[in-house]
Amino acid sequence: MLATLIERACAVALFSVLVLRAPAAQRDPRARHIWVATLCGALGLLCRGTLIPPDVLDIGLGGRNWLNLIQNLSATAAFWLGARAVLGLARDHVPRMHLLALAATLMAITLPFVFIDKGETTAGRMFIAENIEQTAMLLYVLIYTATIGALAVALLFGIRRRRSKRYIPFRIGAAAIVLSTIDEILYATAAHWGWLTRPVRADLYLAFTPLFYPGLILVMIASLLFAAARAGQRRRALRLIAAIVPLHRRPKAGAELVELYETTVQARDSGPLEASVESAVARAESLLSQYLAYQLPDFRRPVLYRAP
Amino acid sequence: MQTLQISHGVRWEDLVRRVAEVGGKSIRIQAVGDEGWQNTTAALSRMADVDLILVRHTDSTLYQTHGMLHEFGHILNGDEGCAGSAVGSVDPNREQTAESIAHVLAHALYRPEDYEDQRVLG
Repeated sequence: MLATLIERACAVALFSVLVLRAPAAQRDPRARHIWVATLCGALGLLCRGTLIPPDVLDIGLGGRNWLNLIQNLSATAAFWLGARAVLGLARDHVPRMHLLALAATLMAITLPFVFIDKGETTAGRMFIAENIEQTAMLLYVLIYTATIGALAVALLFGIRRRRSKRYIPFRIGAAAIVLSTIDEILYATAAHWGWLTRPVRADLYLAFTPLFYPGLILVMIASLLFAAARAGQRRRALRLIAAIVPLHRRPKAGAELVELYETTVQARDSGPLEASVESAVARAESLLSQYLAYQLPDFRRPVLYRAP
Repeated sequence: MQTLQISHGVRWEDLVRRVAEVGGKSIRIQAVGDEGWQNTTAALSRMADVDLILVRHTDSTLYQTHGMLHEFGHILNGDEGCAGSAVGSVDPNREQTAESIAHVLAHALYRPEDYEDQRVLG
């Protein structure tokens, strides 16, 4: 029951990000990677049976648990795309994690799955637990889980130098996902070889969901925080532009700060301003100064910059 | 941006040094003058060993900075000098070019600290 609630909360987070970030993804290619990653994640969660019973979906695929493979391939693609985008932050460009690498990883997950004796009926969430004694199943779980764990570590690595406080839920979430993959690897190994007592194995099995899905929710919350910050800046800029030049044409989406800067400079160029416009210009200058990447020196004393 | 080999979020010091390097001379900046500077908000004097940029100290920091960026535009454009960025242009075309460069440089300087993060995740 608790697991279902957690997964539903995760679905809400994923679909919220999907809807709210759609406009940004449409206009900015840099925003698109995470959006497509979220789409893959949502598809994976759908296959998990969070919103639609898994047997309903699996029957469409022949009723032999192929849904589990689609779920895991979707999740792998989601994490791969996410890691690719976040690693791009560290290097200021999207790294060349070639699509062939993703294809090879997906193949490596699919190959052992093909050799699993999958039974004749949909096992749903119990598919892994009921078949973990098979070597092919163990390999399938280990390769998939280790891949997700490695990609979650890549997410943490990609943001290691990012200073924004909005990364706090992201860091906690990605760390929880790493822990969940370690837990799953321990469970699968112990269950396959019959190590540890049955209650301990059961605890390991149950620990995955409260770690993985809340972790994913926290990562989605971080994304929403950045989206909210971006939307807030755009709204403030639009309000100030309207206060400085009431009949100003609406700037192109995403260009609000640029437009605010130009409007502010043009207002100053035009000479003495009315009190209300002066106040709006001063507020615009204050806002833009917060966005100045680095502090300027005091130029009341001459400052010399030597040519190299 | 490509000429200067700078990217968004460039440090002020790095920007000025790159402009000085391209201009071939050191740059000295000082905020002077007062409200009596009716028509001049910033000025550039290209001397033998240094490019001198003066800005009106009574202006807001943002407007002073824009004045400096405008004068950087003249330096990058290889112009002789500039008497004032707001009014009194000698050559409207050169003023327009300097102003365009100033806006491009401003866009590199003014941005939220987590601008890239917002683009990727937000």
